[in-house]
Amino acid sequence: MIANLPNYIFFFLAFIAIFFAIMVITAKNPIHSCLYLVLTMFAIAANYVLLNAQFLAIVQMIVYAGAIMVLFLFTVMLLNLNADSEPVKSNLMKFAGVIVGGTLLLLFTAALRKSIGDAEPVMNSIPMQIPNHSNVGLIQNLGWVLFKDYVFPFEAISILILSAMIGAVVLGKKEKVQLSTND
Amino acid sequence: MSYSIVKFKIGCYLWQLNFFQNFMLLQSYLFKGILWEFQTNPMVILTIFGIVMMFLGVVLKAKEWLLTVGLLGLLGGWAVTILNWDTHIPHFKMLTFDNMSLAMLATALAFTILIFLITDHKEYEEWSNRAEFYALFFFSLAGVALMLSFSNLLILFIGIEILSITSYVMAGFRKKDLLSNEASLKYFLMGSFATGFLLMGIALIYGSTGSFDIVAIHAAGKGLGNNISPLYLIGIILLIVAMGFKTSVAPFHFWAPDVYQGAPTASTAYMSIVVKLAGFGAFYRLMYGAFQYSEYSWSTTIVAMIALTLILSNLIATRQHNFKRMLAYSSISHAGFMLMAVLYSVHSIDASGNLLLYIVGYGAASIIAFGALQLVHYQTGSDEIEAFNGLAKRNPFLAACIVLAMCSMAGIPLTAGFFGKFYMLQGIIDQGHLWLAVVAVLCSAVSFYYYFAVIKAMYLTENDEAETIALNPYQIFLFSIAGLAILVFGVMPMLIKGLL
Repeated sequence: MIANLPNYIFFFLAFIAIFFAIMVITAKNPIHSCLYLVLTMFAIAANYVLLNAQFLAIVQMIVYAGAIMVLFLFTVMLLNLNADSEPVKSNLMKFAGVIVGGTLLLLFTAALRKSIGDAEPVMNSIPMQIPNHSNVGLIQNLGWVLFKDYVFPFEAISILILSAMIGAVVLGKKEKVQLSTND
Repeated sequence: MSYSIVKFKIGCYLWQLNFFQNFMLLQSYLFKGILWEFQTNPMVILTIFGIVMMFLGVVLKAKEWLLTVGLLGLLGGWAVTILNWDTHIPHFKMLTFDNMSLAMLATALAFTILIFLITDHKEYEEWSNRAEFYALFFFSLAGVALMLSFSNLLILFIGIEILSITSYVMAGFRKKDLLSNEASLKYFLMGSFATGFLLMGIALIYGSTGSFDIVAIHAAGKGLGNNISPLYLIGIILLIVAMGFKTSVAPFHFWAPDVYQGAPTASTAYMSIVVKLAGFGAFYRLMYGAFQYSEYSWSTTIVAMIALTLILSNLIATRQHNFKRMLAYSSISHAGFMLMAVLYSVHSIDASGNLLLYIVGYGAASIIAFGALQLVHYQTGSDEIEAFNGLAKRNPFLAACIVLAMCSMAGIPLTAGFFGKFYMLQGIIDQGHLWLAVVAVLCSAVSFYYYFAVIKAMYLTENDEAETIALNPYQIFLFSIAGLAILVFGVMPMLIKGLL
């Protein structure tokens, strides 16, 4: 029972995450959707703790559940969305959506079922380095990996962020009003 | 002069020399890495010029220098790319510039030079944020360099994201045009969705092989054999979905016509040539480099995608009256042909050369079509095929170039497009996909209908009202170099194909 405890906790957290994720997309009120999303983020953060990634868990809580969700809430409030302004989708679209989503779900479920049965040979064929000591997720180790092995992607991301910033400024800036001579 | 003074002087001299040498050594340690990276990684110079362009917009009041500096930057990037030919230098265990990626990158830069020449036009000179437009091109090309040379899935993801985010912005640069806004928003929403698929695919691949590195994934695929994990297979499928979206292959092509139609013409040209090139370069590298041993699991999916792409795009294109939308569907159908190179890449060493040849031919034809559309649109204010009526009288040279481009796209012999399609079909027939080749040939025959509608409008339809179109020297250079490329590579395809 004690040995299997992390497994039970995992299933509990996964259930919470999926349950609230479904609530996010089914809730009529956008603010309720946002709040359910906060709970989903918390459940995922708790999963990170189970994986010995403590720092990631804290960052997930601060950045996602904290900062980004506040932004979401502000945007929703400023846009004044409510159930009435939700665009009406035709039944045909809903039907197509159900078929496509259902097919994808079937694919994933089938793969999951098969991979649970075959899990051991797959894992045995590749030497996996599964982190099993509790220091692996600390900031020090994370820093070593980030600035030694993954320094290039870390720097390359800055180009991404820079171009996103330029794009946001360019698209968001107000054009100068051109004075027409014949008004 | 006594002996001791001479000794002292020599000592001083030696000490100075020593100091100088030490200083140089220190300097070389400091700068060697940076300089080396600058010389061997074309991405660095592209990023630097992106930042330079950004600041020039603030510093420089005379905007006509922007284009010159931009062209210089592209030529610099092109030179760095060419000088690294045959070096295969790995960077940080994340990037490897092999000959395929260098050739593709050089092609991308050459086409961007031609696209910059399209922007030498009154429409773009009126923009207040023209400098940022060019800066985004450079950042985007840095992303292209990452996508073409990745040896780690993280780099693939970052490259695709850089390319996508810059493309979303470029599509919306005509801020007062509702169609352009729609294009940008639509591309952004759908692109973000595709990114989700990409990340999920990478996560599943990592989960089943334990690595982001494509060499390690390749080795894991070999080790797995028949005992293959379903998560691994689903990861491959999700990656195919994401790459299919970026390269606008059916059934992930729905964004393309709307986005192409709404975006400014230079952005459309960039999206249809360079983004597609980068997408296929990365697709090829991914499937050939990482998933070679699990080919039996994904080849059927690719075959179905090719057939669907060719049939859908060509049938819908015949119904189009808008030249830009027609070109969008035509670019989707060309994506179907390019995907054939991915399909037979595992079995044939010619696949990379064929892909390059196809992209060069397709790009040269596209650049003529978009450059001409820019001029016609500015004069008549319309993107419809009717706007081309009587173009043979209005500007015979331009009309002749468009005829060449349309013939190349349709695949008529003595144009680059013919050999592109010929080698692709040869490749898939060697793999035993005869029925797919038959479908492709039939679809090519259908494509004659909509390509020749343009030629018919230009030569057989009279239009007395429209005035002549004047070309400036840059535009004459643009059309003649692209036309020449179509003709030369249509006669001697080995010039390109033999490179790889």
